[in-house]
Amino acid sequence: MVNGKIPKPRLPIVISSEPASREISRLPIRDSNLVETRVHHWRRKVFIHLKNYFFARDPSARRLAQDDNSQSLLATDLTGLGHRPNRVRSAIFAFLLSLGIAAGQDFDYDTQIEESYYPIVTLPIPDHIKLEASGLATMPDGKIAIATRKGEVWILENPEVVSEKPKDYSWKRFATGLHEPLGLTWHEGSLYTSQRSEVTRLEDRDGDGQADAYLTAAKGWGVSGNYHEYAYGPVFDSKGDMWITLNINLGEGQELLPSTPGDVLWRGWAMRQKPGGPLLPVACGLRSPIGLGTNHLGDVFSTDQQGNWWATCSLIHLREGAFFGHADSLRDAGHELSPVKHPGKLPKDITTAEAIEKVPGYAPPAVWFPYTKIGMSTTGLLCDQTKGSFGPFTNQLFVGEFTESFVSRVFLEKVEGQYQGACFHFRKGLQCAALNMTFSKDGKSMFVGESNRGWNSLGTRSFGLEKITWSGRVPFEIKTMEATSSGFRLIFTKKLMRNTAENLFSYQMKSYTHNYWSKYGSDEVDEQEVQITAVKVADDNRSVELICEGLRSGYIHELDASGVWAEDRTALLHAEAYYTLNRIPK
Amino acid sequence: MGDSVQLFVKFCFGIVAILCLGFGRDMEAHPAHAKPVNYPFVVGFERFHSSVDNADHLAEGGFLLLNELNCVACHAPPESLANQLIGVTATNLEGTASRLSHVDLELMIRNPRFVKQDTMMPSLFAGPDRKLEEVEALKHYLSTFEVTEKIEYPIGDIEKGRRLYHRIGCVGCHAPEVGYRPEGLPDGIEVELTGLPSVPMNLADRYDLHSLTRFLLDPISHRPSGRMPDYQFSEVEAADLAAYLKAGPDLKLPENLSNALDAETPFQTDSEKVELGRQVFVKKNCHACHSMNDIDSEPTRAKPLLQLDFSERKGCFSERPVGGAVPHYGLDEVQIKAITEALKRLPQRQVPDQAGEIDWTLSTLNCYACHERDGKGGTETAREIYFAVNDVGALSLGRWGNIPPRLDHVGRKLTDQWFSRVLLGEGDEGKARPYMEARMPLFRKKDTLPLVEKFRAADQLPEPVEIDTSGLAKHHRSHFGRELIGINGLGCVNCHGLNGKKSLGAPVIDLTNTVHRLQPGYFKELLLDPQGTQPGTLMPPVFADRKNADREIEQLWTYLKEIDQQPLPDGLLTDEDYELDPKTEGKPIVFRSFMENVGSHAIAVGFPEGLHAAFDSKGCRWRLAWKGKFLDAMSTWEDRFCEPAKILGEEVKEIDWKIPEQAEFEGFVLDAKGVPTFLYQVDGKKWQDRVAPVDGKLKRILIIDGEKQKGEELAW
Repeated sequence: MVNGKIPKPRLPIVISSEPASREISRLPIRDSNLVETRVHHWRRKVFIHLKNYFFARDPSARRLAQDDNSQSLLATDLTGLGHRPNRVRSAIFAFLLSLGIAAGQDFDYDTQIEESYYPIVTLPIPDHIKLEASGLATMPDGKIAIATRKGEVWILENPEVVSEKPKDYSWKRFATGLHEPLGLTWHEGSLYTSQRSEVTRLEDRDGDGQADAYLTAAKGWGVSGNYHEYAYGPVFDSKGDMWITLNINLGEGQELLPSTPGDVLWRGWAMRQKPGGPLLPVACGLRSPIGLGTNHLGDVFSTDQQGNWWATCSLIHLREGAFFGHADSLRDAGHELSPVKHPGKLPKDITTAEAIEKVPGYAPPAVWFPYTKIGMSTTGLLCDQTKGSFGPFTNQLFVGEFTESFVSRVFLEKVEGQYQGACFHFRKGLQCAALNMTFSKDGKSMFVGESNRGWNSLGTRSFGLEKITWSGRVPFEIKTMEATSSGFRLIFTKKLMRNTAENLFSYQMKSYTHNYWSKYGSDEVDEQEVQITAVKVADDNRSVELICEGLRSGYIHELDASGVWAEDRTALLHAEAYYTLNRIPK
Repeated sequence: MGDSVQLFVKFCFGIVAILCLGFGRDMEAHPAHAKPVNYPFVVGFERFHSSVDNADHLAEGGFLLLNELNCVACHAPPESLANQLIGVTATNLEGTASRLSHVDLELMIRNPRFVKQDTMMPSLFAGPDRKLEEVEALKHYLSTFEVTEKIEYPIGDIEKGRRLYHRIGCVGCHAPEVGYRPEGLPDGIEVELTGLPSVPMNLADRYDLHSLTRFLLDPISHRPSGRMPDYQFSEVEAADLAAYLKAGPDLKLPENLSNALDAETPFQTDSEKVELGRQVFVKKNCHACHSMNDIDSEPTRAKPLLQLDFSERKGCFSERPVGGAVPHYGLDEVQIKAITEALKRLPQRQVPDQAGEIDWTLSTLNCYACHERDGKGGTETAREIYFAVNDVGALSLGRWGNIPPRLDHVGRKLTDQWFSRVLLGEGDEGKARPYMEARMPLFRKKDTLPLVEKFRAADQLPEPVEIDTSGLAKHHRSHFGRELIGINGLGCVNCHGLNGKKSLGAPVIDLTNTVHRLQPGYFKELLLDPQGTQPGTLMPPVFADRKNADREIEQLWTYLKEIDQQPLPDGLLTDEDYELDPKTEGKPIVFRSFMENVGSHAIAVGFPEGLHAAFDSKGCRWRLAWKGKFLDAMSTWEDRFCEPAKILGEEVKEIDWKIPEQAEFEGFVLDAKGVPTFLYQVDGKKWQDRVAPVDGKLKRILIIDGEKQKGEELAW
């Protein structure tokens, strides 16, 4: 994708008459490509239809067809390599491809289709605001408060305005001089934010619209001056307890003052503070747990990022005494306040699936995000409690992605008392790394705060604020993926075309795990095909039950359901699902 | 009988008038008017074709003439060439009567060649069958075309117009003023005479001053062919230029401006004659070239080009006007030969390829006057001094500083969007060469916009240069690019300006809009091999020996992609850019960061009075005080590795006060003036600790459990 992303212009550019929501506000410069885009869109649809028609009944041929690179498909088919179950059909398909009906290359179809369900609008930011939005909070009056990495808190007073002019949104500076706040929450009448060295409650006592009391709400963790010592949050759980997470430090601190023993205390830990009480450690094994949030039940979750000890990105359920895997944090397990029991010497040459059995106290993530398949660095966490205003994903979690600039989606269920579930792609195409999200007061839009300073991200901007709005059209998606004792139950957002859903070849599944080691990331290992032996479609045509052979607990089960169509003849917007099967229900 | 006498009298009067005017004109010749040639002047032909050319090359010029003289309006070209030989649209006659006096109008109808020797307009009333009443009627008809609202423009400044004319590129096509010495030309250096033909502009003598201004403001609506492009002058600039062009040889406007301002007393039109004139207009097929709103009928078509018999000098080739509807162009020998050679080759003529189409457009629009491509065209050396710079630094760049760029590779160089902007006349905003005075004028969109695609197709490399600009790769971090571009990296900022800042040295291309301007592949191609890509460029081969050139170029791109949201590179960035200044703020600044000798929990407080202090919120004690400037926020706001915030002031003083060991920080509150009071608990007692300047000293007020303590001095 050399030219795939066109930078956002700062200069007026000729704009065509087409008022397509997003391109105008965000990418006017590529406006001339709009027509082309629509053509591609159409081609893509035709391609999918043809693909399904010609290959739906044959698994290996279908696998070929999944490869959107028509060239390789053609080559494989025409040279007769591999399995050729239906040469006539293949030939016809190849012929149609050669007529140019097939999808062009170098084009991100998914984004374009996603756009029609969840359009993105980029908010114009006044030139003087460096809006590296690292924390977002929706206030009771609907205004959006935004913490920035530079250390300010801004209030976006008219978040619902649609305008090209920044001032129409009314930006008011609420607080300044904070030390890299990464998180912002509205709780009982005040804004709370985590700075590097404390959680601060911001109050505006004289009511002039600017904070005049910066009160320490929680403190006491080690800060050695190492750049990686980020502190995230806070969030408040259902009991009103405040939670934060603390990055592990990478490398040495700085000699700012003579060092003291507490300088690296609780790095890599999740912390909790009951109202009026002290800040206490809860769980450890974290690396860079930037996303902190609660689900609809008030349970607290965090994301963590691929790196040393973390094979890939994850969503974890924070709970007392859990050890999530990053060994550096164990240095404080012996502390008198530590609820985590030191697991002892960590075994070598094991997988994360094996760690569940072999490492005492090891708590596997509720969801793994297979690396590059669904992101490279998970960030913010947001539960859909919009009661349907944001679409059909009530009570599910949305997860930000830094490097690939998108938002994904997570479905969770409890099996034997522990959370596990599946992640799905949701919306790609943000202009910059997503750090944090919040819903608008009416729940129709999700604001995404962005900043990529220090790292790289797909897109064209260093920072910004974007708004994903539900268009009201329901995309055809796998809404939930639940584990059953014999396989999985999928519930879809739309009625199914029964014959495609009944077809065994509409599904493919494999399972794999990762190495559990101190190295940076891990390949997928021990991969196996999961045989789907039967499909039962529910009478209401809304869900299917997959009966599988070869389920393995502790493994990620990757499903591709691209053969399934909706009754209204749409293909799945995202056909892949990644289920982390820590436990198989009995 | 009476009529003919009257006509005869008028005829005589006309002759006298012509003689007088003709004479007068010669004597009044404007110093910037080129001496007119005695045949229709087609600039693309004049520059690139001559009698010594071989027949094939001359034929190319012939095709140009067939188009530019609008032969194809009457003689249809073969269908295969219809897209190329589209002809031109002649002067828009709307408003003619407001531009020209009726004498000039009449003369122009009777024999345009007499008024403008080099005109491309053929004579239609010069033949033996000329009827003067038809001329008269036509004059009446054309006199009905007046500008409805007459706008008065300011009277321009001749000297400013003269300066403008010789700076922005007018002289690319038109002649420089004889004897004019451009600014900055050292004494003793002779002004070289131009050798290439200049496009004549005798128009200035005929139009009145306001009409000339109006013309300069919107030449394309006057002459829809766009051969005179639109420089998008401001009204003042156009008025200045008009004044200059309208001035006499003494470079003064006539004292009685009414002559220059308003050509003539209103002309009384006669409705019968108007109608007759309209019929004559159609009869003579004038609407083949001049499109008229009130004439619907199709112009009469003569024989198609392929069927023409060009063996003899007859019809349009005739030496003398033949009359009827046959136009007389006054072609010279070379032109006739060129057209003849072109007609000979017409049946075999291939549809031109991309390169051919580009060359055709560049020739017809005379882009070659300023731009060179494939070794053809470009500014004549003697004219280069008439392309000015507005930054003396640019003088050291030689031709790269003042001459419009070569168009080689432009199709893989500029993005379509930027190219279109330039062609649509929007290129001035965010100009890459702010030091260059030459302006890119605006032509007709339908002529120029298709060039974007043609250039792109023609200039592609067989194997495109690969560059990943996605932002996805680990090295795609803008701060890497920032380091490279700064003086501690490759030092690009020594020559290139960025984001509103000038370079440290000579000005070259401004990099602000690089990612909007350039295709990423070309960016890489140029950086890897500057001389191969832009022969003669001043750009040094900075990547010649760099192992990671591929990655580094992508890093540069990433930084430039996000440039408006990024800190400036080292070299362009100054301490002031990130200085926290309580004076400007008008109130104290409270700033948390890492600070040496204050710790990881530092809170610095800066006062507009120029006294500052830093509080360690972990140990709950003041640690430093200083004077002068406050803090540099750069490392806190931009640096990934969080270097401690730098004190910019002087007289930094360590404060060595003993405080109890177990202090618990509880935050701070700001008073109405923005001064913080730090709150902490010591042994269960609540401390309120406030420091502020009083009479040039930092005074501390400490309240313990509501009890005010004795005032202390923190420093000075």
